[in-house]
Amino acid sequence: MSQISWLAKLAAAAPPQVFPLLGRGGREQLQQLRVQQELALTSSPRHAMLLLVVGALAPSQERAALLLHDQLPEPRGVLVWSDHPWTLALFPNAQCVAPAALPLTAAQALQRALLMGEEPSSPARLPGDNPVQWRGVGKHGQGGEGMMGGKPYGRAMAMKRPDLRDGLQLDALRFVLGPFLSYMPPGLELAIELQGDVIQQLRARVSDDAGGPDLPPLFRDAASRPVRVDALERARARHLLGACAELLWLHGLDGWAAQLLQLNARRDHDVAKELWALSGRLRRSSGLQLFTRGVGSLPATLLSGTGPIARAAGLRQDERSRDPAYRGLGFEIVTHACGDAEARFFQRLHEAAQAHELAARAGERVREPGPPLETPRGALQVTRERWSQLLSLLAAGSSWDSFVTTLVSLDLDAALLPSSSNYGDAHTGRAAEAEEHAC
Amino acid sequence: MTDAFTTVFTNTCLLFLLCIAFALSGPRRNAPWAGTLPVLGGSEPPTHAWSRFHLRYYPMTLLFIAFEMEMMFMYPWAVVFVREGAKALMEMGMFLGILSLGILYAWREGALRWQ
Repeated sequence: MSQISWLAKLAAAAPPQVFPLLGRGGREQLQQLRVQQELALTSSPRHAMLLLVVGALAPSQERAALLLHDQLPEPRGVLVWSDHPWTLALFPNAQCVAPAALPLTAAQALQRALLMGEEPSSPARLPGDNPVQWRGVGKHGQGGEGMMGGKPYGRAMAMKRPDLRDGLQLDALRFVLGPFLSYMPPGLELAIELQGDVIQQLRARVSDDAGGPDLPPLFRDAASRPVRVDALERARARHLLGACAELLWLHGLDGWAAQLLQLNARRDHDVAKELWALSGRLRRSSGLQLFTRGVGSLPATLLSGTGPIARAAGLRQDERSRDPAYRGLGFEIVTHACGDAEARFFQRLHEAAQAHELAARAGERVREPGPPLETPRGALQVTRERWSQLLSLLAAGSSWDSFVTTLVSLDLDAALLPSSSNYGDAHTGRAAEAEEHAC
Repeated sequence: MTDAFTTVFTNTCLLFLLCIAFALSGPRRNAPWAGTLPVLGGSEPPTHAWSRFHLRYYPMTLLFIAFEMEMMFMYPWAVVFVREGAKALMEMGMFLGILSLGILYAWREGALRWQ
């Protein structure tokens, strides 16, 4: 017994293993934790002891959130790092941390209490039995379609479908991913059909109650009240560098990501210079090139409007060029040509460096509400249905890893995608339409 | 005899203990349903994950094994070559030539293209 308590003490002293459940508006909070590196953030609930709920969840996401909660092994604990009333109500026995504070101490204390038996494990929230039993078409539950016949536990066996590449008829694996995966925009659900690791079809949707555009608060305020230009540009840089860091984390380039975010936290005049220098070093990074060059090309012919995605494809559109608040600040539109994941990464990095330069030059300048505002994601003139089609187009025929890179490099706001009542049309053609126009 | 008995007895005891350890540490039969599902970020799987797909590098693997075996033949040939000289060299040249025609054919058919 003493050996067990000695082991429990050792385990309690280790960094808490935390699975983040990311709701809307929680990305910047989570990035603070990644930079701190005092919590071990896991990509699967199976490897975690604590569930950390960040941001705001929607009522339609209740079952998904509870399923992930139950997928944590026991003993498990829940921390809610949010002040969103519905999210707090979903986990009534959880420990709450205010968004302004960091949940490091609370996580360490909860892990210790769970391991020492001072705190009971959070009980399962869904029924313990499989809701669907094995049933076939025969009177004894046998027989039916598929490789094995019947529908074991209500789930069909894989059925044959022609492969996009050569029409070879083999089993197509169908499943839905989301709405809570760390590399996907919060709330996004993807219905996917795979053959091997190649995507045959993909459809994207969000829940009906997912909420409006997910913007930094200052950009929401700028529509209705005067805001300082330097604060606006720093908020823009923070968002853009956050999106760059997500792509670096995805490919295991954690050091570069932490460096970007540490630079972002500084407010001195050298930040822009250091960002340009960092951009040069990243250009020479073979790791980044390998994963992003030529991946997920969205050419200018498929796009219109403003924002980093459009400018990365060569469209010279930015509302700041017409905004009186930026007159005389030396603002020039930055563009790239290829429109692939690499171009989008460097587009955001360069725009973030430019935003720090503008913030340094802006002084006390104030932007009045009225003229169209250039938000960090911009205003692409793409309908919800067209977005869904573009995602399907980029996914069809690409390997799973390339598509995830593409998805992260787009930095999508899930509010732009069709809601669950309309699971956007799947594009069954290959990604050739986009490839034809690529660099 | 006593030594043999002791060895068998010890091994049987160890095997028995291992079986108990595996039985205790393995997955519990009464594991909650949610814990048995694959993690899909909050979604439940609509189909079973048992599906057949084409191993696209299969022809390349077969070619690799064929040429690996060819290298095996060259070890005994190296011994014979010392005694037989140019005759053995010519025979091995013919053998490699025929195999090379095979690889050229596979190349033309696209078997070496990574899919």
